[in-house]
Amino acid sequence: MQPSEARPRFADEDLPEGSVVDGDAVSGPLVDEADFVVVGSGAAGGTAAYTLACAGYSVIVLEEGPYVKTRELVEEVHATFGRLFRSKGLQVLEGRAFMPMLQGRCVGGSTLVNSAIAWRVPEDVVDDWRASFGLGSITMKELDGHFDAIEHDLSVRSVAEDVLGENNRLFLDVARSRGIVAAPMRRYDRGCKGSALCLTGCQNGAKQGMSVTYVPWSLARGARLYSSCRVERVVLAGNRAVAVRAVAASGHVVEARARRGVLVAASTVQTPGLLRRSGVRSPALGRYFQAHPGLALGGLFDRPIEMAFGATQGCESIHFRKTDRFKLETISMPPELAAARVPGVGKALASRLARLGHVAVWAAQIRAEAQGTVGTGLLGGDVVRYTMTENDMRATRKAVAVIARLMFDGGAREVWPGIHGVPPVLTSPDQVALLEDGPLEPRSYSYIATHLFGAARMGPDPGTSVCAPDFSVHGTRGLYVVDSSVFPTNLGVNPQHSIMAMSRLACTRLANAERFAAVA
Amino acid sequence: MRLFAFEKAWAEATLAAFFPEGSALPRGVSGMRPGEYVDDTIASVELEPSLGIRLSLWICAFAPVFFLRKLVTIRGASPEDRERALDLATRSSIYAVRQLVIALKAMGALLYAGAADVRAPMLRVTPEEHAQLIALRRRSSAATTSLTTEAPGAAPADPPSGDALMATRSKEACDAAE
Repeated sequence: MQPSEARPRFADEDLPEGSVVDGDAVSGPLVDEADFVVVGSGAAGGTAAYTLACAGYSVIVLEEGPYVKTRELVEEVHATFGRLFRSKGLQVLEGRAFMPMLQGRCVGGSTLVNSAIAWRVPEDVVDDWRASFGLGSITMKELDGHFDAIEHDLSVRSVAEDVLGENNRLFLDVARSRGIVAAPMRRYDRGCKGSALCLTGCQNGAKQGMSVTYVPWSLARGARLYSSCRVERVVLAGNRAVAVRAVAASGHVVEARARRGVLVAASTVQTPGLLRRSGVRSPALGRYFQAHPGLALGGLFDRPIEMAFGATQGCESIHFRKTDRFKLETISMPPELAAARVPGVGKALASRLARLGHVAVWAAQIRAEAQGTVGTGLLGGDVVRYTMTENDMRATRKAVAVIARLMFDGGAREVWPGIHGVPPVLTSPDQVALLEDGPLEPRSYSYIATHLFGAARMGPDPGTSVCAPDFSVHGTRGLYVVDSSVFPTNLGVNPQHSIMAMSRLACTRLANAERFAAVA
Repeated sequence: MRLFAFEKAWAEATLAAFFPEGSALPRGVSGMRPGEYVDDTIASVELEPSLGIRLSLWICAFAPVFFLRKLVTIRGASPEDRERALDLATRSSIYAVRQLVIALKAMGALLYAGAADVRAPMLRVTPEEHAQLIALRRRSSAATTSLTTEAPGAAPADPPSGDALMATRSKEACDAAE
């Protein structure tokens, strides 16, 4: 056997011929037709395409970003941001403070560049959706069936002990010693090697994101994918969605006609704008946006940590989710991202960077109560306005104090909180009090927004929601939203798994309804 | 939109102050053409972020004036003054000033720490420390393994409902059906 034959092949290397149309290579106007057209190929879109393809329907998937294959992934953050992230990673959420907002813009969406964390929506959230938002038709029991199937498909498992790495293990040890419930994460993982490269895409093909699972599996079942094609609008004939109009990267128009329906899975930030451009008018459109703003603390230890080895995000704690509205998690950052968090300038900065092998980074995701809006800016782009409330700031303050205390418990010599108004370097556990009494001003903290919800939320009342409980847009036929913009609230846990389960639930019901209608 | 030559020179001086030569790392950012890097970035991003980057560059350029009361730009300041001015700028009480300066630092970090010869020593641990890591892994493996069974979000004990057409159809079931 030749060496080249011995190498493993990835799912994105064996695609049916003609199943992918690269928008860069489109040389003239194109028209295509299928039962369903799916806008977006991330967690929601990929799942929708696969579910409908499995049910025997023809599917077209339109994706704004390129199809970057496993073998084309690189370790360099700058190159990755430029190629795989929306606005090269420079997108921000505007409000009292600016917050970077990272979204994948590629086949697979954010599932290509996130840490593949699988969390079922907590039951109290589903209860709240039923009691407060009239979503009695979405039950935990039904969702569990979808979670089971997805977990089986995408090989969800706890982080293996041999790839845990010290950043994760130390967090686990010190959290347990303080009586904080913590555990290894469950992830979409088929053979993680602990290369800590989740954020730039898994070069081992171990992370089970959409670009190596549901998308190629859909294509194997006859679906067609148009990558690098930006969707402009859904075409409505009367109130029925009949097609999607996109512009390929080459500038030519691509029209995808839908015989049965259009499913929008463009993300919380892009879906409202797309619906607006398509003529959907709703007082709730673009409102009720929610997020899990996250922030990280660095800790310098005498013992080695070596963030470059281990699961990128491997351990977590939901100990404070209900009581204080935050979740703790580890995150191994590549040097390019960690360097921005390290205090100092010049030689002082370099001295700390030279000790990065001894640095741990632990983070908090705040289940913020704040609500924002998703609108359209002067230049036509999507603009998110969002400001955290005082309660959110109190949750933040407690979260950073807990993390700092855990770091000192673990033997940190320095803790870097990165909070304006607090010393940039803490050297003693006594100084944690400075964090407990820290500022309640959003501008003092450096958040990042990755988990986004709402802005086209679901509910029975067209006055306060955009989509009906069956995921269809109020007042239209054949137009559905299946991404996290339909979520009435945030979750307090990582959302990818819940997004996928909700999308699968929506498409399963849709497929059932279509079949019953055909039989009738 | 491209940078003017004088702006490129400011970009080089600013990033070189953040990541200087003669530090604990093998080299500084100067040899990595930081001016071209900022110029290329500004040219390739959308209008709004490109304006933000440009504004941050101007703030850094005049940081010696604002923070040190010296009538020079960042390019004309001494290496010590450059570092001092930028350090003060990252801690400015004016939110926009400190955020934009930190944003430029973050942008520079993408270039600087992306270089293999700089990155390697950042990540390195000594052979003795590596042995220490192995020992730590062995010591706590039993405790960790026991915890994996308690992972939050684990599949519930109840069987799936399967009331919908495909609610419980996994990939294998789907394959088998074809």
